[in-house]
Order: sequence, then C-alpha cells, then structure tokens
Amino acid sequence: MRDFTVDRDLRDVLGGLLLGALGTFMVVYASKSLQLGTFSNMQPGMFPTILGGLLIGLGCLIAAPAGARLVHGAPSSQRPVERVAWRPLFAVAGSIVAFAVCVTRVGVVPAIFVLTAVSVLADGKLGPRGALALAMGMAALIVLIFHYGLRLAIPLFIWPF
Amino acid sequence: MDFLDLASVGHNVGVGLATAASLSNLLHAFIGVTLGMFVGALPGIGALLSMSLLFPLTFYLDPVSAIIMLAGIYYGCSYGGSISSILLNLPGEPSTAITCLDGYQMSKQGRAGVALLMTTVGSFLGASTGIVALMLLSPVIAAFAVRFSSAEYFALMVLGLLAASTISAEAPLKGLAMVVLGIGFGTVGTDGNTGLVRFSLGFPELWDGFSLIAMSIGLFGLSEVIASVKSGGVSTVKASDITLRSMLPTADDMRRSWAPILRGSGIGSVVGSIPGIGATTASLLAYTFEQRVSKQPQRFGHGAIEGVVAPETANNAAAQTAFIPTLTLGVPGSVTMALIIGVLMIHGITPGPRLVTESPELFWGVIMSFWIGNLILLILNIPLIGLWVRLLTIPYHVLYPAILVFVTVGAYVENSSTFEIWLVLFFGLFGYLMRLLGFPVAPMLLGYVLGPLMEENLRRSMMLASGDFVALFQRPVSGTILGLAVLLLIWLGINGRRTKRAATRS
Repeated sequence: MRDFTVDRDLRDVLGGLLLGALGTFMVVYASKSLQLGTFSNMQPGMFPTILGGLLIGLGCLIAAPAGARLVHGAPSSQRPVERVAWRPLFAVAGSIVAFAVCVTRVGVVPAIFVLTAVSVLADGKLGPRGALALAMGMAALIVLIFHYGLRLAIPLFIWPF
Repeated sequence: MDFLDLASVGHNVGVGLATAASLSNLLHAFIGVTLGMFVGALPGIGALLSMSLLFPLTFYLDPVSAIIMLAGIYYGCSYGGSISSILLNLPGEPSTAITCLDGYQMSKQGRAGVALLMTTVGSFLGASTGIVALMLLSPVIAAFAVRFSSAEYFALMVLGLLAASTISAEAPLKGLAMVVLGIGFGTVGTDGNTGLVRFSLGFPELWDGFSLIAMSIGLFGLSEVIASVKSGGVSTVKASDITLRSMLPTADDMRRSWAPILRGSGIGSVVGSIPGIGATTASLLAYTFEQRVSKQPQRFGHGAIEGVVAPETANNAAAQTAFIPTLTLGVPGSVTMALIIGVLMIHGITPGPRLVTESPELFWGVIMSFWIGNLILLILNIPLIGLWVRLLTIPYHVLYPAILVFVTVGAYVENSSTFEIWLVLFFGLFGYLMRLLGFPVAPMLLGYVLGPLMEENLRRSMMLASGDFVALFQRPVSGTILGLAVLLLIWLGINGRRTKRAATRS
C-alpha cells in the first residue's frame, strides 16, 4: 500500500479543524437541547458550552499559523510526520471487530482464537502454528483468571446448533 | 499544626501495616510489583498500558487492594525499565531513557552486572526517601487543604491540568486542547446535579458516561499496539547472561555512587511531587546535575556509574512522591496517577485531604504497601536478575496478540456486553488518529477523570460567589493558585515564540 504522508502544516490544519468541529458540535448541542442557566446558577448546558468555546479557540490557534504557512508557501519544518500504518491498523481493528461479532454467537474461547488469528496478520511474523499455540495459551489464561479466579458468569462456549 | 509529630507517625505506621500486611494485600502488592517489573523490563510496554490491562480486574477487588496492585505496577516499572536500558540500549520506560547513555556503555565494558546491582540499590534507596517524604508531608498538606472550599479545588485542578498537559509537552497547545477535549468527554452521561442526560446520542449505555476502562484501554492499549507493530523482518534480541559474581561492585564503584544516590533521592523527591513534571524529568535533571558537579565530566557517556545510579535513584524517588498531590489533594500530576484516582472514584471514594483522616486504613495501608513492594522488588531483582534478563528476548510479535486478547476480554466482562468492545475500538481508532495528527492522548484521560469534579466545584463556587468570576481570584489561596496558572500560560506563550524564532533562524 502507498505510504500516506502528510505535510506537517497540513496536519496541524486538519487537527485544528477537527477540534473546532468537535467544539462547535458541543456548543450547538448544549445550547439546543440543554439549559444554560446563569453563572450564579449553572445548568447542565453551561459547562459544555464553555468547553466547546475553548476547543474552538484552541483549534483556531493550532490551525491558523499552520494554515498561514501553507498559503504563503513557506517551507514547513523538516521534522518527519508519523506515517499511517495501514496493515497493523486494519489487522488490529479487524481482530477486535471479529471478537465482538463472535463472542455473543460462539462464546469467549472460540472468539479468542479468531482474534489471535486475525491480529497476527498485523506484522505476519508469527506463523499459523505459533498463532495456534499462543491462542491456546491465552484462552487457558483467560479461563483461569476470569472463570475460575474471579468466578464471572461469562459464556466460555456457545454451541450454535 | 503537628508537624513531624512522631507519635502520630508511629500510630499511622501501625494502622497502615495492619492493612498492608494482610495476606490478601501482600499478595496484591506482590502481583503488582512483579507485573510492573515484568512489563517494565519488556521494551515497548509501559506502565500505562499494563495498568490499563489490569484495570478490569480491580473492579472485583476492594479499593485498598486495587490501589496497592496498580501502584505496584507503576513503581515496579521504574525498576524493570532500567534492565533493557542497560543491556539493550532500549529504554523500557521513558523515565529510564537517560540511563542508556552510561548504562549501555557499562554493559559493553562487561560491567552490566555492576550497573544492574547499583541501580537496584539506588532505586530502593531513592524510593525509600520518596516514601519517607510522602509519610511526613502528606498529613501536613492534608491538614492545610482540609479547609479548602470548592473555589480552591477548582483552582488546583486548573493548575494541575495545565501543568500536566503543557510543561513537558512537545506542543503545549495540543496538550491543552486534548485536556479540554477530555473534560468534554467527561460531561457525557447523567449530570449529577439535575439528573439530565447529556450527549448520550441515543445510546442508553452512555447514560453512566464513557467507561474509564474502555477509554484507557482504547487510547493506550489499542492505539499503542497499532503504532508499535512494524510489519516485515523478524527481529530478535539477544541478552547476555548475568551472573551473581559479575554484579559485585568494586570499592571504587561504591565510593563514586553514594553521593549521586543521595543527590538523586533529593532531586527525585522534590521534582516528583510537583504535578506535571514526573519521573522522566527527575531522571534527566539528576543526570545533568551529576555531570555538572562531577570533577571528571568527560567520563559521562563512557560508562560512568554516577550517570547510571543518579537518574535511576531519582526516578524511583519521583515515582513515590507523585502520590503526594494525588492522595492529599486529589490532583493527579500524570496520567498514571489519574488512573489511580479513577479507580478510587469507581469504588465511590473521593480522593482529597479528607482521605487521610476519614480512611486512614486506606491511606496508610497504601503507603506502607510501598515499603513492602519495594522490599519485594529488591529481593526479586538481585537473585532473580537472570530471569528478568531472559524476558528481554520475548519478541513483540508474540506480546501484542496477547495484549489484544487481554484488553478485549477485559472490556467485555465488565458488563458482559459488546458495547464496551465497540467503545474500545472507537477510542483506539480515535487515539491513533490523534497520534497521527501529533496530539498527545494522555492529557485527554487526565481531563476525563478530573472533568466532572471540576464542573461540580466550578458550579458550587460560582453559586457561592453569585456568578462573579473575579471572586475566584480574590480568595487568597485560590487567587494564588490561579495566578500561578496565568503565569504558566504567559511563560508558555513567551517560550513558544522564542523556540519558533530559533527554529526559523536555523
């Protein structure tokens, strides 16, 4: 997959905009569906509105200088920007999704095997045999801690048939 | 004020020992420090991640055992972190990074054993100094802070959050933004005053707010794993065997080490107790200080034992005194301390000056467990060093699937609901996105934990002052604290402009 690198200034503009958007959401939500009250008698909407305002302000402070540099075409700082690790991102997120989908249908132990199988794809260094051994070890450890140790009523196996 | 009242200290020690030495608490201290040692030694897994890992388990423990265990992980890590710094030139923890400089050189000269032994001794002495400071100062600070009202608490939280997110941050504005965002995440759920639900976005699961577990596991566990896994190319680490004989220091080593240990203890204890600057800064300061006072500064960087013991002593002293503001004021100086506060609050305990007088078993029990934990670490370290060294050879590609299994199951069992797992995924992806955008995720959790307390105290103090913000500055204590916060902001502004100018000039 192609490396996805972003200019440092562009990154700050994006980050500042994201914060501004979140802040705007908070202000709009709080002022629409919650009561503000007064400073001497603050209602649930007051504090989130203040926070939202602060976020918008901070977002501007972060985005504005970077944006100005972008527009004026000034060379941005040479420090390298972290690259998106696509393969680990998809494998790790996928393994969590797989666990969530499996655990209510087949139980915790099979879900651990699925999670391990998907997550080892993130770097592909552990072969299928290693993954199987690791999954068996982790399943045993989890059953020991949560089922026998803490005596939690979690579904270890669910037979769908 | 009964400053240094030895009789009451003696009484408190008794109360604390009675709690800390119970079989179950001994066991939890042992589990905590062993695990801390374990993850500290493994490069790539820090205290924060492992505390998040064990977080779900603390629900089923009583609050004292829970805190003893989590605290054990935290200070155990600063012992274990030095092992990989010395042997591999890879810091196991950020606070042991500076130890690499002379520690790795010592190992190259075949003196790894000596370095490991002396850091263990220094760590133990540093931690002891820290605990003594904690025992003597906490009651005094708590007695003073007991008279604080909501205005002072609000001011303290503002200063604490500001300091923790900006002082040692690469980009102070971004740290600050993440704190505010975290406070925002803290407002989700039922409002304590009116019972109204805020920002639940139609999810009844969010009526109680975001769970601290899902948030910490997602932000630190998941996004950390995504960022740390490197695909392709098998990497193996080789660690040499350390024999007990090789650990014996020479008379020259001993003579050179005692003064750095003393100075490191002092620097670490002072620096650790200030919110915002923790063990990492303490170790850096101790190292530079030793280099400055040394008669042969040119030896530093070439295997000087002073450069190994001083930072390692300082970071352990700092790890202990970090508990002073956390336990006596309820203001955490770092995210690890915020997790400790979060656990207390989940168990219905509000940390603050009343903790010392109202739950002395908890307060003194936890402190006395630090003595026990540090003794266990001393014992674990010297004879069992070979075992820890072998741990360094566990590769990351075996560790991260295990971490993922543990965090997902941990999130799931909280309520046997998959909603928590989706939350973990959400925070993991959000944390990774923020990381890519260059925002630190740790301040977000800090804000999240303190947010609800902050709102409550702001609301109450505004009610008392009939809505007059200036009144917050007119009270002597809250005014002073807020004044410090303003000064900090000004300093950050000046400093930021200066570094920018320096950057453009070069």
